[in-house]
Order: sequence, then C-alpha cells, then structure tokens
Amino acid sequence: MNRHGQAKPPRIAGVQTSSGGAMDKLREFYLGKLGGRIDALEMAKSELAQSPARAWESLELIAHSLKGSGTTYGFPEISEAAGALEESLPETRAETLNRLLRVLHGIRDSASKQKTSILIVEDDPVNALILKETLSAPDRDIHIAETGEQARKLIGGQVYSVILLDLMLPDMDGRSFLMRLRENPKTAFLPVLVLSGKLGELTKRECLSLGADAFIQKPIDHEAIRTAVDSAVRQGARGPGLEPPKESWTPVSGTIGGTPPQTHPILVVDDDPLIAKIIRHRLEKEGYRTLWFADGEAALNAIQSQSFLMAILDVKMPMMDGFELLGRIREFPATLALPILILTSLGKEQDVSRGFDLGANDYLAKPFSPVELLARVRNLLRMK
Amino acid sequence: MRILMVDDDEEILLVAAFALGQDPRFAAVFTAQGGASGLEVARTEAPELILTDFRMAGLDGLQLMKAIRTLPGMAMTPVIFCTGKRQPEFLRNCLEAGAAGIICKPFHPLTLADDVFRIVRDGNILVPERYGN
Repeated sequence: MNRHGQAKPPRIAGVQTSSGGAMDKLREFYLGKLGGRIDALEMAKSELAQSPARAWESLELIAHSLKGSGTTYGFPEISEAAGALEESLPETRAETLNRLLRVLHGIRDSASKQKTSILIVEDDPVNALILKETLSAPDRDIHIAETGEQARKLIGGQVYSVILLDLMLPDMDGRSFLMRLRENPKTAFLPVLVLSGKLGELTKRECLSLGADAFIQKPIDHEAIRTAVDSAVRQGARGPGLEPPKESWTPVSGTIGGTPPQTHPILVVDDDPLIAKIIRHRLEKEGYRTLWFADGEAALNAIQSQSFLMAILDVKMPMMDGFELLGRIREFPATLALPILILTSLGKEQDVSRGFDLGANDYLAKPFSPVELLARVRNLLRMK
Repeated sequence: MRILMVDDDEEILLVAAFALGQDPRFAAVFTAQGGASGLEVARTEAPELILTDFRMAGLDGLQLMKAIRTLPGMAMTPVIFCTGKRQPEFLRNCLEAGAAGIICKPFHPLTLADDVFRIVRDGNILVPERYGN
C-alpha cells in the first residue's frame, strides 16, 4: 500500500497540454516492468497445452491488467492486443497471445535502443530542414529551434546528444548562447558544433575557446557535417558524464585524461562533484593536470606531501570551509606563495575581501564562465 | 478534497497518484493496492472521495463500496468505479448499487482529475474512454 498524504508532489506547469518529465519517468517505470510481464506470459503460454484452465487463469489476469494500463501509459497497442487476448475464444487464444507477446517485445526492444536527440539551432528554415534531412536516421530525433530562446526551452526539457548552432540567431549571438551552454552544468560537456557563414580564423578561435567542439563553415558540405555529427554522437556517448564520481566525498585524485605527470597538478577543492568536474574538464582540456578533493582536511594532507601549480578553492564547503583551508595553507612555508583562486558566491563581496585578507590571489564568483576561469588561471600562473 | 484510489495494479496507482497529486483541487491523494487495503485506508484516512478499480482479487469494487458505506461518516462518500468493462448492464448495476459514476479504463492521466470532478460536480455519471477507438 502506498500513501501519498500531506506531502503533495509539486504541480507541474502546463500539465494539461504536455505530460512533462514526471510522465516520462512513469513510462520508464512501466517499461521496466514489461520484462516481468513478458516472462509471466511466456510461462503461462508454455502451460497452455497441458493445463489450459490454469494457464488461462493467469493469462487473463495479466491481459486484463495490461489492457487497463497500456493506453494510460501511452501504449494503446498494448491495451488493444491485451484486450483481444482477454476476450479471445479458446481456439484463437494461442494466436492472440503470440500477438500480444510480439507487441510487448517490440515495445521493449525499441525502448532499450536509446534514441539520439540532436538539436539544430538555426533561424533559416530552409537551412534547418536541409540539415535535418542530411542528419536524419531511424535512431535519431532531430529538433529544430529557430531562436536562442526556443533552444533554451528545448534544452531545459530534455537531454540532447549534440547541438548544431548557427552563430547568427535572431534574438542573440550564437557565441553568448554557447557561453551560457557551457556555464550550465547540464550542458557543460555537450558536444556543440558551430555553423557559421562568417569567414575568419578569429571567429573560429573565439568559438573554440568558448567551448565549441567543432567549427563548420557554411555553405555546408553534407558529407562533412554527417561525419562531424556522427563523431560527436560517439564522443558524447563516452565523454565525461555528469554523474558525480562514485568515490566522491572521500579524497579523490587522478586525472581525467590520464596524461603522464609532466608538471605539478592544479589543486581543486570543491564539495560539489559536478562543479569540480566542470573545472577539471576545462583545465585538463587546456593541458593542465588536476587533483580534486571534496573536503579541506584531505586537501591539506595532500598539500603537505606534494607540490601544486596552484589551488582553486570553493569558499562554501561543509566541515572546513574555503577560508579556513586558505588560512591553513598559508601557514606552511612551502605554500606561502602558492597561487590561490577562491570561488565565491555571487553578491558576497565581503567574502572576496575576507579571501584577499587571508591570502587569496584572485577570486571568481559563481556561477562563472569556464572561459573566465581559464583566463584567470593563466593569469595567476603567469604572475607566479 | 482528499481522495483515495484503489486498484490491484501498482502501475495504475502510480500514474493515478501522479495525475491526481498534481491537481491543486486535491488536498491529499491516498492510494491502496487491493480492496482490503483500500478499506483499511478508508477507515484510517476517511477520504472524501473514492476512486476504485472494479475487478480486484479478494474484495472487488462493489464489495469495497458496500463495506465503506458501513464505516462511520462514510455512508454518503462518493465512490467512482474505474473499470475496463463496457457492458451497459454492468454499468447500470454499478450505478444502481450506489456508485457516483464510472470512468472507463484505460483512463487518460492528464484528464483523470477533471473526469473525477465532472462526476462529482456535474453529476456526469459516465466518462467514456478518453482515447477514441
């Protein structure tokens, strides 16, 4: 028995027209249960010849239940096939059962094959359609957004594997859109291919430094874009995921890329694994090595036993906060001159001044742009 | 309004709890798996409205309604059947036995709350299946 008393789930906006994320989760749950139903039907099917009455008893129960729930979960074909079985006569039973099983197997198989979603952000409808046509494949959902705002809404509602981004959008510059994508933890690692009619090495470099994964010049070569998207889809499939590392909360070390240790690593201390991952990803893409700790105590231990290029410390952490850590780091003669960048929350100027008083060399307010982070890191290391 | 949904099927309860739970007209949504459990929740939570499956192992919808009618203060609590059965005779029997109305299964998750209110407020006793055939 489940009770959903007092604690009501929040109302989901626009539920009258769209089912929203919760319904998708419910569907997933339903699909997850289909396997058990298929097994039970198969078992009853194997008994159908020997003891038809007993087999029918369980078959009818399952059929009745599937008929009542299938359509509700968005699978009318389940309700239809299950209804046919429930009302079947003994002589057509085996045949209708097989049909229901085929339907269930088909739904389960297509659900397990993950679809790739691609978003095309392009205001020119003709270009967008040509791109869609070029990239279309049976296992792909391709969506088109004509404005940055539309794209932002779509991205908020679902997960994309790749985004193709036109630089000239009616409501915003593609570059600022790209920057926002990179600042959002959800899309920080998403492959983005920039499409541009603008010739110029500068624009290209600018986009790549903003975090674009590829830069494709218009007019678009269809073969080239297909290859680029295919490779981005593959890369996305094995790129850094957004799940926090399994071994989080205890000291975690190592580099994402596994590059050989040539220089000292940059120390990253942040209790939020996601932020840490974004920072490390950016730094390592630039060729730096990083070492991450989720708490100050472990970071202090590491500082006493090895050298670092510099340190990036989050201010707000449970247990030992960034200020205390900063003060303790400055207590050791070896790290008196270690460049330290602190991450503060936006609008907390007093934190900035406190940080500088305690010996921080620079600060960055969250949410920060990865581009600015890299610029500040480079600057601190140059001054060193 | 505090509503109780009773069904044998966990999937149905889940989607109903979701559909009803996000409607602000319901102050609380209780779900119970099976008739016996439904009676127990009705006794402890005294819901103002009950939505129940008809065909359930043990206590079926009709038996559940009769049992609920004997609970203190629940003699008049509206009971709506949610059923896949379509036979006119069956539907008539339900209404004669005192059901407030019938919502045909499979119900649509996004109209379920409205369908319940249509029955309670407008006295619309039969809500047909929401997905044309």
